[in-house]
Amino acid sequence: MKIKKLLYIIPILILAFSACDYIDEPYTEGNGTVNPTDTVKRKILLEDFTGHQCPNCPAAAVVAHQLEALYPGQIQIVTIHAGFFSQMVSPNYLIDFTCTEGVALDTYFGVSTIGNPNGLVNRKEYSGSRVIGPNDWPSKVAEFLAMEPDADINLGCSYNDGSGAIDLTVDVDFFSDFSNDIMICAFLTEDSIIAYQKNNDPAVGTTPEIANYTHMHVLRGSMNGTWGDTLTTGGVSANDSYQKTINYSISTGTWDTEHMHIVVFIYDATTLEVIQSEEIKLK
Amino acid sequence: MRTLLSVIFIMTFLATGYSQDLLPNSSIQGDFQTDFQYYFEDSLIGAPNVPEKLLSNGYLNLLFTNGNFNAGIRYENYQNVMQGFDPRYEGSGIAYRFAEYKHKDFEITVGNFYEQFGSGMVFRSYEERSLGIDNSVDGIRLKYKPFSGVYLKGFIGKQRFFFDKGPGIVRGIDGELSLNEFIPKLSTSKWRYTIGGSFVSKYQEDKDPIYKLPENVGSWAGRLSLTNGKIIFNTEYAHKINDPSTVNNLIYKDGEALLVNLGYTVKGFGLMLSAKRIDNMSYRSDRTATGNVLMINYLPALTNPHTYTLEAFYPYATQPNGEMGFQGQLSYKIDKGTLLGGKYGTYVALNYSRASSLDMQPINDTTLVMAKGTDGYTSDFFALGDELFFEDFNIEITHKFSSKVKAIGTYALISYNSDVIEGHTDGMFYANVGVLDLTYKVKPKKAIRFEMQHLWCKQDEGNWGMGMIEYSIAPKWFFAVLDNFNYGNPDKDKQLHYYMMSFGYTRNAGRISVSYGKQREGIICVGGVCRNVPASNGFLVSITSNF
Amino acid sequence: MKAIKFSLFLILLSIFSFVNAQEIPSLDIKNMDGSVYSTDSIVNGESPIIISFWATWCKPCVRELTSIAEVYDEWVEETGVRLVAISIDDQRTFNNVLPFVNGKDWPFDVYCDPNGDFKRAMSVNMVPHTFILDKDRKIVWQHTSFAEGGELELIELIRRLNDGEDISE
Repeated sequence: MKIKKLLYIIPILILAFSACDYIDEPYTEGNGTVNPTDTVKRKILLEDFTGHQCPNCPAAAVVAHQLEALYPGQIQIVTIHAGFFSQMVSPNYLIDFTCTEGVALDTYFGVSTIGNPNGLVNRKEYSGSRVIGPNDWPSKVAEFLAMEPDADINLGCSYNDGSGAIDLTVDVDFFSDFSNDIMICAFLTEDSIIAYQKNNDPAVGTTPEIANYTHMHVLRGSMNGTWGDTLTTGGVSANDSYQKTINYSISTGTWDTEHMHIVVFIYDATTLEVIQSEEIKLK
Repeated sequence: MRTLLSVIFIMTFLATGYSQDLLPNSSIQGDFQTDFQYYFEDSLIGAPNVPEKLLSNGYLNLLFTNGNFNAGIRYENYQNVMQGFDPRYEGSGIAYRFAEYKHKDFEITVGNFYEQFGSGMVFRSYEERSLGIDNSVDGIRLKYKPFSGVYLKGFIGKQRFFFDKGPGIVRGIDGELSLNEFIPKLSTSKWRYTIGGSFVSKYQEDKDPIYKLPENVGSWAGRLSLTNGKIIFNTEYAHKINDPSTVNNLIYKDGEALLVNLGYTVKGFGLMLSAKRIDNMSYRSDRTATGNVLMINYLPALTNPHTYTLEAFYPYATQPNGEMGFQGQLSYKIDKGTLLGGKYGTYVALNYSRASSLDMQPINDTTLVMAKGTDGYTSDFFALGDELFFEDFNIEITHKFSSKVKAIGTYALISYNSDVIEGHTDGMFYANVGVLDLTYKVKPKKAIRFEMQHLWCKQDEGNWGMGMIEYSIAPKWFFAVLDNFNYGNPDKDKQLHYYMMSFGYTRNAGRISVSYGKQREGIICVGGVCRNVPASNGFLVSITSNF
Repeated sequence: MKAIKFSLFLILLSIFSFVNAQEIPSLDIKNMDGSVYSTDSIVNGESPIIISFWATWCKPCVRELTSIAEVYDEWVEETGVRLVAISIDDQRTFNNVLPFVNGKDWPFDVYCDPNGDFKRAMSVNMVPHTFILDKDRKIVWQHTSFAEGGELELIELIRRLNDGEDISE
């Protein structure tokens, strides 16, 4: 009698054990790069909050670059140095990678209080938090890129080497309706800065620090403030188009203008979620 | 949200109007806790500027009982989250609510619940408010006792993630069999035999474009316990299939854990020896989660949880990716009337614990250990790694000299691997800590307590000395002042005093305590899980109440 | 929305004064050896019961129970009271409860609540937390924290309870 009752449990056990997914090698997806086509694609903003003293951060940068390679041109990476790990410490960590806008974003989104590395994917909120760990970036990015674009951004840029004046023209075409105000923001980033970086992942480089680490996509500032300008108020409809010109001057000689980009993105002023982004070389 | 409100309405309704007439056996009880702290910026000790100045965490629990029916809610309020807690708690709301019904051998819970299977190595949901941990499962739980001595449990649900839920679904079953109750022949045996087993699995969608991630990750555990009142033996083994996650750097290796305890105890004597091996056992309902969130299992640290401030400076937390741990504990009472026992007897406790790395070998010549997207490493089950994580040898002697004077003396030798435990690169810290705790009863209900503590350390912040005086009037009042002085800090500018004044008033189950002073940046640990608390300078008011 | 919540809160608070004295909940906790123990077995005939929540790592708890242990036999003889100590040690220290209690040579019963089920059901926020139950197993008094000499207060209350006084405040 007792045994019989207990036998009922066996099918439950079998059911339970079948709920296991054993993965065989290779562990990587075999899906290569996405086919390039002429049509407009969704492009997303990935903000990687980091610091040169952060030993786990180089591994996060690898994830960002893997995604960049997987979805060429569709991911605009901005590396934001802020918080504890971005402090300057002698003798090797005396370069200031921070900027006012980056620190303001870090404070607002509370990223470094949660920890570095962490990031924002299109600044979208998931389960009450916008802060996404690097190992979750691929899933979130894939999710976004599976969706049709809601807008298209076309950029034109002229830079005056002598004065440091930037003349940026932006064309935005919407394919979907939005009921809230739309903001536009233009960030300046610099690539290929060689400097020290702490590292604890031997697969990325030497530990505990890399003497000649290549810092990419470093946020240097914004052409129109931390939160940008209003593109339009009271919402937009599909097929609406907007043009905008943003002028800004950088002090010459501070940054290596050969390796600079402007990252432009539009976002919903209420949800703060990024709708579309685009990138152009400064020169 | 609306459903929650209606639950409250129903509870209120039942408890007020009808409780006396229709539901004579119903009752409502609850408890309330609020802490608020006013912060001053203090750049010397590294206390940050808090823009809100005043931060507060508050909790209200309500429980309704009527015969076989229970229901409860917890309202939480973080306005804004106090320093040292995860800022993602910000906000307020009903973070926990449940209804429970019992009928004979059957029990069903709907809503949030806390549960532990065996020692918790494959599943434990619990709340540890002081650490900001609450991984309650929101779902359905069944408990059933088909026969005497047989305990079955099963559940399905999602775990709490701040004021939301984690992305993964967790389900599990557990069975425990007490052989003495189940087999009549054994009912009179001096030995008690208990066996148990659990299976837990989680489901989380794989949307990763780079790696093939398992969507269903199963784990199982088996346990055994034998005891005759003097000898205690229990063990549990747990196994988990491939579960690449942020914590294990996306390796596909299976995980396993073994915990063994063997003890001998008679009146006045207790000895307990424990050993464990943890290998890649971080198990969460979101593979990308880090920190103290969405943990499905619990891996106890086999170290002594120190309570004196300076002894607790360098606490240990289990390393879920891999560790070997040992602990031996001895407690002994020297009888009264003997030379060492004195008039009242002396109590001696010895504890030794050690945690070190696993032996980890590369899977092949070209792959680094723990390389992302590989099988990670291979490990010999019984081999010790060569890196020491933590070691603690400590002794505690409690002696009562007279009806008025009692003393506790402790000494601890601690080795602490800050690289592994804190993820910094400051190397090993070696600390010796001595504490003398003296209580002098002025009157039967009035007592003065002195605590003198000293920490010797050549690394980190150097030597510390601490003195405290506490005056208490039972059962209602206590006052205390303390000074914790970092006189040995290698940086002369940081040789600072951390003073603190506090008082408390207790009336039955209500208590208010107020303290003012400076707190060093440190790690608070409960049950081998820790959180980092930043330095602070300010007022802390804490109120708890039951009704 | 906020107003609704707040008014609800007030309603709830206002009803607590009319609440019936509660009995201890019926649930499964553990013996120190890990086997199942039902709280229904916490009985003491017609005499009062003290339930004290504690933990091996809680110094005031251990001081309180040690103070009581020294006079416990006298208490039992005089008042017939039964003390039940509930350890809330979780899995980390649970296995050390039995050797610890034996090492201390405590004369009262100790049970374990490693995942806090009993603790939550009794609305215990922090330890030490002590309850007095009358002969009908109804909670008539509770207290949190311990100061030296607090055990004297406890036995006074038991005496008054035995004399038929109402000790709830």
